Amino acid sequence: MIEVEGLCKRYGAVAAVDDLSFTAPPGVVTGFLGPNGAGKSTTMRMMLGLAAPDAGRALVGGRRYRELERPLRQVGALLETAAPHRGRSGDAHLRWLARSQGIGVRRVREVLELVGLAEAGRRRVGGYSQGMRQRLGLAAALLGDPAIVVLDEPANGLDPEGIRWLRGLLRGLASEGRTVLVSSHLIGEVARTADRLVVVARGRLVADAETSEFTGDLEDEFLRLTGGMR
Amino acid sequence: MIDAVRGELVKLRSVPGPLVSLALVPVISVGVGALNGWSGRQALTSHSSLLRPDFTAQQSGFDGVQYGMLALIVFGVLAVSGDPLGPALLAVPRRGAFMAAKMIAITVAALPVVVVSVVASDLATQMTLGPYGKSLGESGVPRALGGAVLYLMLMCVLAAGFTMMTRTPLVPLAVLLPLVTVGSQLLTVAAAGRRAAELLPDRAGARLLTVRPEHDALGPMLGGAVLVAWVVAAVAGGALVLRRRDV
Repeated sequence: MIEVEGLCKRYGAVAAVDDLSFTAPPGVVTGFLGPNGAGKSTTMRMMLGLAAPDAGRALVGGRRYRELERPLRQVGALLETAAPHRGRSGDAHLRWLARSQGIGVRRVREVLELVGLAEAGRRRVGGYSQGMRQRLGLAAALLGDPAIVVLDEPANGLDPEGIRWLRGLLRGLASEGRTVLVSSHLIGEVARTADRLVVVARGRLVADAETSEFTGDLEDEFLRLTGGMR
Repeated sequence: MIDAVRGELVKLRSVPGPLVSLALVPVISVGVGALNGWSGRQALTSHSSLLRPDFTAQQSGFDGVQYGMLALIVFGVLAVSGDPLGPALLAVPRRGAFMAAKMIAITVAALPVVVVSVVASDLATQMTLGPYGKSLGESGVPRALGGAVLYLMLMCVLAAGFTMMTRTPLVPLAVLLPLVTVGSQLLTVAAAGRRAAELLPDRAGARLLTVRPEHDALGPMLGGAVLVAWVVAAVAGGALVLRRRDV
């Protein structure tokens, strides 16, 4: 369970996140939608303790992320701002993460195979394609077998086959009872995967409902919702 | 906390920058130490007037390691600047714990290298001094060897703490390397600058490795205390900047 309550974040005069509240329940995929610059990444960074909110709070599993002991065992995250060092091998990146959480290194091989990077693990991240980097990020997110998964634009850089694989992965994680929050600016893709949609624009919540409640053309609906703020 | 330190140690091992700079510490220390002893021997044999008037075999054994310290400072800087904060703080979200784990890991990684470098550099100097070389057991030398280890380790942590404040390697490198090589020496030329220079981290810390403390300067204890104060300030500053930083 992820609970966002009255979250605010300002950068100068701009309110990146403005009194945002929503929850992502366990056992379903929650899509986090909004145009570029809507505050999705900022919200996720606050959820993960990387940025401090000006007001409000975000709880993961009922606690603030910064209070978690060995957090990767409870929350897995894919975020652009948490990209690995390019000079390190994918394998080494996962190994230090595992060590820092008291996770056995055997798990590193498992997640590398799970995301299809068993071969590339020894190579430096700087030589990876965007899709491979994304897969490594997913491996890092799943390393601690977390009950909560937060993924910022996970489909970026994946080829059609990768996107289909990702969809299956996300559905599988949710069916195991995990909380899955996935941001995207691509409505069509998220609508195919997510059970619930949280839509934001300019840092504010504009819709929060089951995907099935969105009637008619989702794209029109999305543009109406997010464009209405301009 | 132990897990966090272990993670930091894997990080230090798995990128080339910190690894190479740390490996250079004994290479430079022993190389310069040997060269220093060899040239000292030539000067002594030929009764050259170029030899420093205050030359002693015991003290000259600590010259090499002060050049090795340059590589150690680079290690301290790269260990921090080369570690992206995003993944680091996802793994260890409490900023204070992350800072502590990082400083401990840097110390754990550097300490054995520094101990070996200090002893091997002195040995190299004494051996290449030939007949003029002295035993490492001479009065004052064991204390100075311990002091040299402490001095180098403190300078390394100082560099790391300072880099956490700036997040870029350029500023700490551009400040610390010139300071250590020429800056504070230059300041001692003018009488007015001398007293102030005594309080700079490298000059104060260098008191730790003097075999026979001079009367008009800070003693090893006081010099060490001044350097410790610098280190505490740099690490506290780094922790403070880290606490307030959004990633």
